[in-house]
Amino acid sequence: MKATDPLIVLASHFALLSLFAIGGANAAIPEMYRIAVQVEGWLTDQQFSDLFAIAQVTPGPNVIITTLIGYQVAGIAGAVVATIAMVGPTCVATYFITRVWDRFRDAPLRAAIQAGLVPVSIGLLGASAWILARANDTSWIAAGITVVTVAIGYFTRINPLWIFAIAAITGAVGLI
Amino acid sequence: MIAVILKMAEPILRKRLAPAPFVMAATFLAIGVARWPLVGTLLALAPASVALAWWWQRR
Repeated sequence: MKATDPLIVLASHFALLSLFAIGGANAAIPEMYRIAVQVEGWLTDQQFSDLFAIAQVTPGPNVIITTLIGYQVAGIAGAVVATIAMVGPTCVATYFITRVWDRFRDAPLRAAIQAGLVPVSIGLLGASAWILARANDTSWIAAGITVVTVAIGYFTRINPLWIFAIAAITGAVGLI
Repeated sequence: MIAVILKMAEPILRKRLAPAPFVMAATFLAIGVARWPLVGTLLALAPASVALAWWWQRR
């Protein structure tokens, strides 16, 4: 197995990424996009956006997008390797960090770490949304659907799955 | 996703003079607009953000 083997490349990228995904898998979308589309050329803009959409509507955690990327790159083996690489290191790290974390419940430094990481994770999520919107909103109708979806999600309590369904129907009848 | 981000950012944006809104904007610009690599950017931004939060709490 060479260092250029897709499975090794997948494992090394996602294992490193998992340790820096502050805010969850969605916060790591910009880096996944950079690796999969810009650096390795595994996917096109459109394919990446499609995988993100599938990951969102699929029941289960958002980290499913890594499974889908792995599958696109190297089939079933790629899906398994990418998922383990993305979930494994962070699970181990979480196990050890939570044991220490509770001991410093009242420490000012713990409060500072939490307060310091929240804006970083929100900034990362914003970057993810920006990159996906840029890749997807190639027409006025698509941009309009994004704006309407944001408005509905922000101002109402309607289940986002209904919005997905309406957008899917719009796409199916050829409006996008 | 954008709607959730807006809801999460709302309480942070209310504290206009705190460092958090600036850190949030810097992260967004560095990763989303400039497309800098995540690892290097976070190694710089995350400790800086924690240091700023620490300083803000103690003042």
